[in-house]
Amino acid sequence: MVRPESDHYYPSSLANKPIAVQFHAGSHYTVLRLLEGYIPAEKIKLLHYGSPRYRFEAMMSGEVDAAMLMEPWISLAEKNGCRAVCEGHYLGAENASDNMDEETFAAINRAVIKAVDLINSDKKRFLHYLIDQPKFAPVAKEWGGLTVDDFHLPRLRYAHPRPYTEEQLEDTYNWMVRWDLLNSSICATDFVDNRAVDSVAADD
Amino acid sequence: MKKVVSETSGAVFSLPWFVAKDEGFFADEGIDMEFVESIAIKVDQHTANPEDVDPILGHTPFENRQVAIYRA
Repeated sequence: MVRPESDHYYPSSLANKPIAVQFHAGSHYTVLRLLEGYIPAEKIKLLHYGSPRYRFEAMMSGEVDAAMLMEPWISLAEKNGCRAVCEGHYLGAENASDNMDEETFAAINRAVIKAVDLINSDKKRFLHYLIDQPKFAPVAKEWGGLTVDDFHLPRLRYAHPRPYTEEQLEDTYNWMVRWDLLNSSICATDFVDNRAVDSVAADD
Repeated sequence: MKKVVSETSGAVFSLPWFVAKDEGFFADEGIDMEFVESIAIKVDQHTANPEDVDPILGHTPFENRQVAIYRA
């Protein structure tokens, strides 16, 4: 996203301009996936600013030309006149420790599935969780506050948990190696164990 | 009830978990769910090199085995 007075209206003009992200997180990987379609890799200039609050503030202060944000920071930025020059979605994943047993994981996912269905039946009812979160609310107050009517609801996408496919894993692994984000001597299957998730899918 | 401790990150990611807890869906499954918030990352040196940054980021409760699961 860019601030209201910015001259950036589409991704190509962000070549060689500083963009705030959090390295090794969704904001890092998603911005690369979005910008590589417009800008040569060597002209994508990302800077590590940490959590979304600091990326938002760096954008608003003009320290950076753009910041990669997620909700509810996107809605707060839009309410303050900022605009998206590109927008993408990525998969959120549950990462369980090696001592999480399959029965417990399946029980958790059954509860999460009920919650997903409830959220999708009336998203506005649950937006207070986003608005009131302690890392967001004080900053939002400084920037005019945020209400449930400020959100673009289709942007909020909740789906039943399910394992990603071998093909998705392989494609993502190859993409990370290409961007030098992963050591190619490590095989994708060396660090991903989908057994617990596979058992959930089998129960569906 | 089986106790499970989960790390929470941004509410946009953890929303189904918050709702599942508050609506009693975890309890219905015999899960006593407790949340530990991930640590916000504020950096003073805005490096352009990803190798300068520990990829664990704010997920230290998971790395320290305080929690059994997190999402990102």
